[in-house]
Amino acid sequence: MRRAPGWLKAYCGGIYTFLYLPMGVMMAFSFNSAHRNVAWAGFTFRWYVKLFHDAQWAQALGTSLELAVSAAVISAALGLLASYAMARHSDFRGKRAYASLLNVPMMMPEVILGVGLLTFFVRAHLRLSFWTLVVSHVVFCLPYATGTIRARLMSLKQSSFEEAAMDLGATEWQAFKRVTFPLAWPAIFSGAVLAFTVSFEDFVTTFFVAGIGTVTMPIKIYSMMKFGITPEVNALATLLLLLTAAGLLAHYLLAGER
Amino acid sequence: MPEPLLRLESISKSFGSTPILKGISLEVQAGEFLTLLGPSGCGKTTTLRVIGGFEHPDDGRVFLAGAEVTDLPPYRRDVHTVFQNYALFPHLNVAENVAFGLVLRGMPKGAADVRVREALALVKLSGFESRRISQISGGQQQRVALARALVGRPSLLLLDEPLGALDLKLRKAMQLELKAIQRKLGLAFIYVTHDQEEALTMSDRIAVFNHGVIEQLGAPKDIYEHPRSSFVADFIGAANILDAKLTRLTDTEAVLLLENEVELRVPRPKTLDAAEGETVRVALRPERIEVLFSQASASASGLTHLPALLREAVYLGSATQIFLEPFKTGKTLVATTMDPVEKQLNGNASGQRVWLEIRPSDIRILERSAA
Repeated sequence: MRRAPGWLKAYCGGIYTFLYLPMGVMMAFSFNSAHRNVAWAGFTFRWYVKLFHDAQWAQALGTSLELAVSAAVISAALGLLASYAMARHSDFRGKRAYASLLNVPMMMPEVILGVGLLTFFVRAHLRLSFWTLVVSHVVFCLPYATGTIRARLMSLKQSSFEEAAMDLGATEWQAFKRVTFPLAWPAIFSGAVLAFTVSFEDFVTTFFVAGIGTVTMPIKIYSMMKFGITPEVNALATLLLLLTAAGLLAHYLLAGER
Repeated sequence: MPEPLLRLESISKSFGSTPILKGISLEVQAGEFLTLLGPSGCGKTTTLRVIGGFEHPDDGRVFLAGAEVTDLPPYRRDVHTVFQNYALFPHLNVAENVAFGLVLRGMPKGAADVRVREALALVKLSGFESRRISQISGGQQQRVALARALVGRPSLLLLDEPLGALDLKLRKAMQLELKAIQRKLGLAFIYVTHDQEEALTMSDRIAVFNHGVIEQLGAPKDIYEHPRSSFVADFIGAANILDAKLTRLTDTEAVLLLENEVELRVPRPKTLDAAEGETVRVALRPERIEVLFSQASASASGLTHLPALLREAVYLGSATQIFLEPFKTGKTLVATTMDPVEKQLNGNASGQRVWLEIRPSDIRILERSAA
């Protein structure tokens, strides 16, 4: 095995420091007993306790969870249908356009997505509410869920499981229910988890389409920061970070299965 | 003539602009073992998928036991398939895999269990009921796939290169076992393979596929002994393919000028689509060429002797392959002999003068030469 030269190690070390040190500092300061992020004054859980006693924060967390779960479930369900169509039919008119258009929201700048959705809701005379927010989140979560589920369905197709089931007397629905769905379930769940993560941490689109009174965690953090970065913000951001990381880890563990 | 179990009527199928099947017609009788043989991409697997209901033909009709099934989905056809990759359900155990079709039919659990046990006993996997699919070997998976397809007692079983993933020894053993199971149950098998030896060993009849058409359909011996085209002669076993001019044609006999040099009288074949004066391809099996190391006395037994240069001898264990040059054109012929020829070869074999002994009736006239 070749050993990496010193300069390469230093370079990589520098990159990772730059990537992760700010998060580390933020997490560390969430346990700092001083009021300002300047000097370390001792370890405390005070900010977390305070956070959990603050009704506004709890409400923001609740809204975020409700929103992310709804967006994840809807995205996974729609993603399953779309993936099934693409895996089942080797070719249909406009299949490539269909597949690419599904992915566009993932690549589109979020500001544009946000403005577009807001314009749409206003023009359609839909009052901004929790549900307009769910619809908006599904728009950009769908490609993540679909990508994961579609990859799994494609590989299942390679193994002819569904054909084998139909050969043995299963109708298309029976084959789906008894074979395809159980085998695709880990991917469906992991696609939903990924969608959850993406929805949970979203700020830009939410900022545009959240109605008055619908406050998610990222929005709450942003509004808090107008008064400076308090240790409470650090604590909240740390929780957000851990939850997101847990979601991503779950996604990769499930997607890597088999 | 009883209604055949399966009848294909000029089946055509294209994928995009590529024609895969160009008018396949075929009949299979109950209890028959038919092999679809050909190189990859010749259309044999597509034919199987049309019969199974996984591909809809662009043109032509499929009949099972006299009833048209062309438009029926796979689950409404009384045929089961053993897939090339087995397609065993990884989330079910061995017994649940085998029982899959029975459960769908709503068979009571007790009766289904008995049938599953019988099927697993038939493929010698008794006691494997509760194993996971990932816990058994490739050969065992192959047996489970077979049991799963047999348990529903179809009248026709489709097998898509079922032994392709097994090693040679296991493959040979499974060939005999499959054939035994087929005989015992009296089932019709349609078996897809690209392995000509497998086809010759197992089949009642072989359909040789090439570029979406059936080049020849017949019993293994018939196909081996009387190939109708150079493709068939070359694909089934080894063959020397030569050009020959049809100098004279009578009701019983054809006179051939091999490689513009050697004249031979051969019996006229039953079917021949070439006329006098045309050039045809002919085939001669390597094992039908005798190599003599000294000039034989001209015998009256109708044998022909040709002087030749020996180019190379390759020892193959049970046989020796000898490369010969009998013609001025330098065209090489291959002969295979089971006799020990080490002594006569005198070490350095190349350039040695030998004689070929052939029986003109062993020469097979194939198609007209393209040239």
